[in-house]
Amino acid sequence: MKFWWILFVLFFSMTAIVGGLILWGEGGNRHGYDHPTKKFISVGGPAGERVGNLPWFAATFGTLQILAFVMLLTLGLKKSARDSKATWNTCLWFFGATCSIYVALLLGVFALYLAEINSTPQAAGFPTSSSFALFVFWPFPLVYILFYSFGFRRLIHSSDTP
Amino acid sequence: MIAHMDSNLVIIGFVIAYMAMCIVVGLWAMRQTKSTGDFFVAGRNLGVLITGIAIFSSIMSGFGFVGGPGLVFRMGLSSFWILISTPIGFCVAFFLVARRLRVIAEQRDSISLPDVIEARFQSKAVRLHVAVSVLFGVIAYLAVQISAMATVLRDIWNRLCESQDWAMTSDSILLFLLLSSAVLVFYCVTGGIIASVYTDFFQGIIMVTAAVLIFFAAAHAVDGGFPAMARTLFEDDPESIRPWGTLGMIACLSWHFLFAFGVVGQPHIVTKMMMTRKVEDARGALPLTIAGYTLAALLWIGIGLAMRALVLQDQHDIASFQSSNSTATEFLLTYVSPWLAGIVFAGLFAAIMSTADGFLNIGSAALVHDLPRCFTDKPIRHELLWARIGILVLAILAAIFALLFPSDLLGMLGIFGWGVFASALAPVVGFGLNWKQASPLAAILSIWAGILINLLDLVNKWYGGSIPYGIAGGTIALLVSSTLFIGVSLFAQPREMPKDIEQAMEL
Repeated sequence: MKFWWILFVLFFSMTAIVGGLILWGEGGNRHGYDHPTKKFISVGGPAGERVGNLPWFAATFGTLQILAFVMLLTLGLKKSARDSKATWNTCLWFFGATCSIYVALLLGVFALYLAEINSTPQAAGFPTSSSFALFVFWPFPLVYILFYSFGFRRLIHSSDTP
Repeated sequence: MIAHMDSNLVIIGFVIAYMAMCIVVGLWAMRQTKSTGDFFVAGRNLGVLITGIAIFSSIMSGFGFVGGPGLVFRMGLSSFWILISTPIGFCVAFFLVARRLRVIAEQRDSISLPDVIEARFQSKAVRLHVAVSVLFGVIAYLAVQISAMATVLRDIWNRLCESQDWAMTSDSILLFLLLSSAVLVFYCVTGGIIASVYTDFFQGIIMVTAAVLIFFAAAHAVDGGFPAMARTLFEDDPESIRPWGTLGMIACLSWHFLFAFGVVGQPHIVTKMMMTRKVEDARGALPLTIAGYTLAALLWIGIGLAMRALVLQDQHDIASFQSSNSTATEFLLTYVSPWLAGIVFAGLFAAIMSTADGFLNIGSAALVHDLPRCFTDKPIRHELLWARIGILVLAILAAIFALLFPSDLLGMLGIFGWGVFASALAPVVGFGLNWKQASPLAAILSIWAGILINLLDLVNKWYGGSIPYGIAGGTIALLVSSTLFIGVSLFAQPREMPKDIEQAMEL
């Protein structure tokens, strides 16, 4: 029951952030406009002008998403894994640690993005923040795929499950 | 000129060969289809490889092949957040619903998602609302698929006519729409879901192979490869190549949420989890699905970035574009060998056909199986025959919808379809199968909240409106419906449920 209350708070908070932003209004165009010479292409404009306080809201929204997703993943554990205190604790550690890293990586994307607004550091041919998002943040859920596939019989489902 | 003529002939040759293959697959699958169970859930007899590839390729569809590169072309890296959301989205879907869906489907001999949902909630009213939301989403999605297929066919045909000096070019889409619908209906009516999953499998293989080759072709299309593309984009507009693209961080994160949690509500995805031979097949299907999707995404990334850079460098004339959705077609017809372009176009048609087939099956099941079951426990007589007639009716409705809806707004219908499925079904399926206290009232309220908010968003966009910060309407709908579902269920009284369902939920 506590689980669903926490999930409710997470979803309600995300709804409140999104609803608050909509009610607050955009105050200028912060989601791009048409390219001055090339049709069908849009541009973002100067980052410094459109970012403002948004990273705080965006980072909170993103963090809440990751917390909700990882919480939902725990529902996939089979009953015997949830009932065994040792297995459950190990799983909690795994999900807790990976969730913290996942959130840290997302915050890393924000930090790198904000740090390079006035400069042009590059990594792997892209701005550093983009490379970080593409090559570090994107593949991270691989840990959950490995967990699912390699721990399937022990933690997710086994044919002897009634 | 000869090379140009030949290349168009090669491409159209591939497309005709593919359509002929669809008819053969349809006829073969018809011989395998002996019951409605075979028609709708492939007799629950799919292996790991077929399931894994069929799941990722049915999500790629025309949107991934045509819309994806168009989004990168238009907005830079913004649409990468759709790709970034996918691994965690598939994980959530597999962890949350794969085994429970498969177990309940076997226990109750269910052939559709509403079957499982009725069994779970013990409520015909919930089945009715799920079936209605499925029909809403299916019609919208189908209209987009049929229109995309007709548009690409028309563009290829016009190119061929121009290269051969035939005075047979056409601005109208009607003829191509009729042709596309006819092949689609034949293929679906004969083959059912068996034809769809096997085409999904071939399509997946074609997609992955073509995507890898196209990625390298894209790197060679611009002098200096991807670093040069990034430089060009950066010099024109630094934001376009930064992680949030031109759309900005709030919009990107709203996509991330919609496309990650939204996967749980996509009936064409989760229904395939009911079709495996055994529950354990999910173990291999998840990594296969994600690996396939990630490789296929190379096409999305490669074409989009290359074309944006080529246009900004004035190496490609934007005048030939009908819209940003022309990005993939323009690239394939200009920068890729006709053989590879032919394979990719065949893959594109495969993507559209198999996704449309999946939707037609789900829609037909809702129409002839789920809606009647809301009022009677007996199946209608000759259900298989009616299922095939249902497909014909849905295809005609979707084709009419595709003709009536302005073509430049069709993309919105696709987003509407995804949004309706996500917001109306993700809480009901994802939370409902994992929480005994989830109540039928919560399910019905969240379904209608999802449908209504998406409809409002569609009307708003129809009249030229937009949501601040570029937030996706589907995200608002999904957040509201999920919060409503949990909130209402928290205060509901736990209900008695049949032993077998209770056991499945306690797995």
